[in-house]
Amino acid sequence: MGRTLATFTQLVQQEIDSWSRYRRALRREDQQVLDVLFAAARHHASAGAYLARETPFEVMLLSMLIEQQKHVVILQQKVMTLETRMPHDSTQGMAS
Amino acid sequence: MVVWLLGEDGRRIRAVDPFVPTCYLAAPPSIREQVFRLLRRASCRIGTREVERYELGALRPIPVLEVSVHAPAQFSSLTQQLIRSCPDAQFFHVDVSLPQRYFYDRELFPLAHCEVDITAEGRLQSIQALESPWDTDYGFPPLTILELSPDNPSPNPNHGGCSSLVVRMDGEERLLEGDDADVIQRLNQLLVREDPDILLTDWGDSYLLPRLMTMANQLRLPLALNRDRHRSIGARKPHSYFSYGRILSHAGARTLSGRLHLDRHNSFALAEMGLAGLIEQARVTKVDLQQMARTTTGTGITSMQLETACRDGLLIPYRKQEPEAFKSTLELLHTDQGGLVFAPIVGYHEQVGELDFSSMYPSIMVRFNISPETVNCRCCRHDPTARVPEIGHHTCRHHEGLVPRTLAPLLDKRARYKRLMAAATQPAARVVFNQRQTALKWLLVVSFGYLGYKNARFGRIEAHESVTAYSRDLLLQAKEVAERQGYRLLHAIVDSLWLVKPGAVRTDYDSLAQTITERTGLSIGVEGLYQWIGFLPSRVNPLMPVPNQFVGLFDHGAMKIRGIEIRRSDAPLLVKRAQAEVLHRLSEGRTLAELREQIPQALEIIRTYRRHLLEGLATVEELAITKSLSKEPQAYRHQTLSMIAAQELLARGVRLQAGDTVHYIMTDADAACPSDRVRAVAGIDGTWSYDVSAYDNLLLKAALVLLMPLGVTATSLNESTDPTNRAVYDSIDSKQASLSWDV
Repeated sequence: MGRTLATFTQLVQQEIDSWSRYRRALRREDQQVLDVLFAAARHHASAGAYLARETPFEVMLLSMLIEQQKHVVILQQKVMTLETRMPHDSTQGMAS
Repeated sequence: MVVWLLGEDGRRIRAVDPFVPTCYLAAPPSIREQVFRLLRRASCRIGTREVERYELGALRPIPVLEVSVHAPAQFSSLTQQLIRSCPDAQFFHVDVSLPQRYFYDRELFPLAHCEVDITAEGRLQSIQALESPWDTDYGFPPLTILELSPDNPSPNPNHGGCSSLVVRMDGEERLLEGDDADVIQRLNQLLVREDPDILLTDWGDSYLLPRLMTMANQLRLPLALNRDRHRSIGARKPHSYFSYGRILSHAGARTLSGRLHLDRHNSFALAEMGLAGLIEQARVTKVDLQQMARTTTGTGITSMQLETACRDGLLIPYRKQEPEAFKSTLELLHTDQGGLVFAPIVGYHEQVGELDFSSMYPSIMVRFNISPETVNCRCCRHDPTARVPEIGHHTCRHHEGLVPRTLAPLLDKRARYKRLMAAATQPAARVVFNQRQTALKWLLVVSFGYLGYKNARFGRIEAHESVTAYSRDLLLQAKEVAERQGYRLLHAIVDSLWLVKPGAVRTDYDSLAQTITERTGLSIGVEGLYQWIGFLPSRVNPLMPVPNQFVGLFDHGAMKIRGIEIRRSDAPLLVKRAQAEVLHRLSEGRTLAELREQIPQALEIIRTYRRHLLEGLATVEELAITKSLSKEPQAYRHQTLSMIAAQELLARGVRLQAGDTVHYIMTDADAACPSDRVRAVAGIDGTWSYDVSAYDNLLLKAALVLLMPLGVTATSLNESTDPTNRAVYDSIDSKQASLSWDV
């Protein structure tokens, strides 16, 4: 059975392909970061498919942001835990 | 054609070779009738015949009329007349300089060692070169040199200061003084007695020769500048032109017959590669020495392409003179003309290796057969191996192009010189080989510009695009190989990569270069290993990296420096010296940790220089700023410092044009009245003073660019090098504690 429309995962793949020259001209460490971003887009493929928007790249960008935000929250919590564990006086300079 | 020969017995012989230049024209019969009418009126013998010849890249020949002119002296005026009277005809072979064509035709080159058969009247029966221009083991011909310089301390005698004449020959120096008649008579005696082959001057084109000739004329005294009495002295007017994105000034020229006049201050070639390099260029390009010394390197590479075309029997189309557009600059090309650049990772790094593709662009042209007639040829359209990466073009797989054929022997010869240089045991021999390989390097460098330059005879934009497309792909291939082997890419510009990998040593970088060479088919080598290298930030935004601005200390102790004051022609000597001393101090540190330990001493150097400035001890020589005028001095709209200096010189009667350099000192850079801001160096006499804070600023900036990546801020630099602060050692100690050396 052929599909008329590409699946969202296919759209992500197409997007990745369209960035291939950009990716090639990045340093390896930056390529790895780019790959993580597109992995985030793929991670939310089912939501993207459900929305079925005309401009899928927007959906991919938002999916990347969601994953970033999750990391920020996790890191904030870790910092708070570490700060409460440390003795009070040495944390003064770091609080601001 | 007049040919000057230096016999094995030391005689200088003027010989005449009956050379018959030809030109070609393609035109319908009606126009041909007109051509024949004109030719019948010519005052010298003319031969014509119908022939078929090919144009570059053409599949079929075209019928053309061959016109041979039996008096070379009339060739130019005759062809110009034809071109004017027959605007609808197509002309070929009309505007190639005749000495060049003579060299192509007789398979000779300037300063060639040759065998001649000559009659008693000086008529050449035969002439044959006994060596090839591709030989590397030729010696310097036994030419005698007389040097002439104005005895003048000013940076440019045209800008002021009167002078007498210094003459040097065989290491002996004498001063010609006295009144004008004395000077002319004594100089003439010298010229007649010594009869030098080369007149090597300082400022001969713009200053010495024009003045000497005028003086001799006014006094009605003979002055044997020319060896050939039958000829007058060649003169070209000064003019400005664009080259490599900058406006340059050409001081005009005074060329001699039977003797060579070379002006050290009006020759890019002499300045860049010395006499040995100039001779090398003349030999391979077949452009005579006086011309080669004064022209752009592009004329040389064009001449080589013309020779290849002549040898192949191709027609050389007539080219209308058009001004060069803003294009093809070495610097532009390295940043945004299609080459790939990875912005550097700002800061100092340890144990870094630099890999360079050797002569990348010309090598690409040769390896991938890129030439105007091979790009998008008809025969290889469907051959997938002929594809140029990224873009839709393809190159021919069947016929070797004109450009690759011209460049291949150059690349080969340069490689041989580099090997000879590495093997040379005598320092003097090494210098000569280096000058010669530099001469070839410049020809190779400009070969790329002439591939896409609309004025070039054999230029085509698709060929130009193909070269840069290959270069981007090759640089990325190199990066990919390196990253797969665990290297980190710190910086890359077009054909060079700076890589780092913990623990990597020389052999690792050598084997990496070997792998990349095998993978790409283009030779890449290890330029060197750096103990440390600092990629320096932008002065405007400290977070912004700037390509090609760095200081690095090689493992053999030498430094490589790019883009900072010490390399800039417009920085005052004082600033350059300070920067050089700081760098020397920093180079005492072999590791990053040791480098940081040098910071207090580096700051102390800056303090010394600031005190020197503050105490008013700086000299004119240390403070002079040299700037090139980017426009005609009358066309400036803003009161820039260089413009104010130019106005001062103009007011003193000095002639200036765009591209000329002015030398000035900042006297009060913020003064309300513009003429108080600077003084031209040539006008300084008696009392003068300089703007301490303006120079202090330049000094601090030059130090900051080096030290900022080591954690020194503008404020901390200013405070810790304050020359009025006497508590020297205290302040350094406290500074060391408060500066944060980030790792």
